[in-house]
Amino acid sequence: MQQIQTGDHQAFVKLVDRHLTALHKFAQHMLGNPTDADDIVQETFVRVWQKSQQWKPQAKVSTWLHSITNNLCMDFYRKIKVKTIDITDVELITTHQPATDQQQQDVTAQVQIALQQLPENQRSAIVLCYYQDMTNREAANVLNISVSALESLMARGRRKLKKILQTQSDDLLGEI
Amino acid sequence: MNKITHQRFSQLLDTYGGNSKRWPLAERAAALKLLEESTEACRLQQAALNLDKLLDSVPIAPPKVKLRQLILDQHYKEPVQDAWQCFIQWFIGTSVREHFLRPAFMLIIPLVFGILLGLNLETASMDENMLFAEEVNLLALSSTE
Repeated sequence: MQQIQTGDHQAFVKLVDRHLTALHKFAQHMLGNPTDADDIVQETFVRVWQKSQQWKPQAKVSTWLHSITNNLCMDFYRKIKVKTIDITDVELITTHQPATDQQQQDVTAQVQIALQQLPENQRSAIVLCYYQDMTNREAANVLNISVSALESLMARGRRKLKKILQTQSDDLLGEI
Repeated sequence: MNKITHQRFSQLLDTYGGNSKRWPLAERAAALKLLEESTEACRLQQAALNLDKLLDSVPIAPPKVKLRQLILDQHYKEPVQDAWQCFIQWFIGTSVREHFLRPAFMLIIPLVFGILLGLNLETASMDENMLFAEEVNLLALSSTE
């Protein structure tokens, strides 16, 4: 990161190669579709290059990158003013899994929609800890909140998910 | 090792899910001990694991190869300033001399434009007068029959 601050393009290439997949996954879980995730990740790296001077050596690079992506996702939501997500808004990714079990695909679609129905900060907390495998301290740093506030967001988020999915998934996966 | 209550265990599951690897290190051992001792804890964990299973079912598309190239191509470009910002920056200038000369230059432009316009208008009106006089002369010389 320090090399990027001096304008080293090769260091930037390495950074992109190291973090592109993780950031794309994060943005995809946040926004519900890979197309918007492409735009957000692209903008993330443009900002990293332009604002590399703002990175401080005590901050973990992945934490800093995730916080930029998270802020861009929040801006994205504010811009399009999403109040409720309809099933048609979520670009379901069905081509990357075997299309053998229609019922399983339905469940997947319901989970994706349920995730999009969570308030953004609860979704951020769950995605960072659950999907990005961050520790609670790292995720709290990304969101700039305390660990207890993060835990509260995650608990509320999971409870809400459970409530949304409860009626839909009982048949397939039993009690949740 | 501290003991953990059922209430705290339930909170842990609500927050981090049923997979013990996701639980905070400080409480993991106590939570695992409770799992060994309590069937109620096992039931709670199973319910949390069911939700985890649903969350794990969400598929993720890997980033396209062209996205990487697009990022690498795009980052070199400097941010584009709009024309108004460029003009303001030029107008203000960067040295003390430019701070005075450029606004003065900008004030002179409309002044010169006004003078040139004024001179042209005067010439035009003179031409019109001459044409009118010539027309009167021609009428005076023409036959009335």
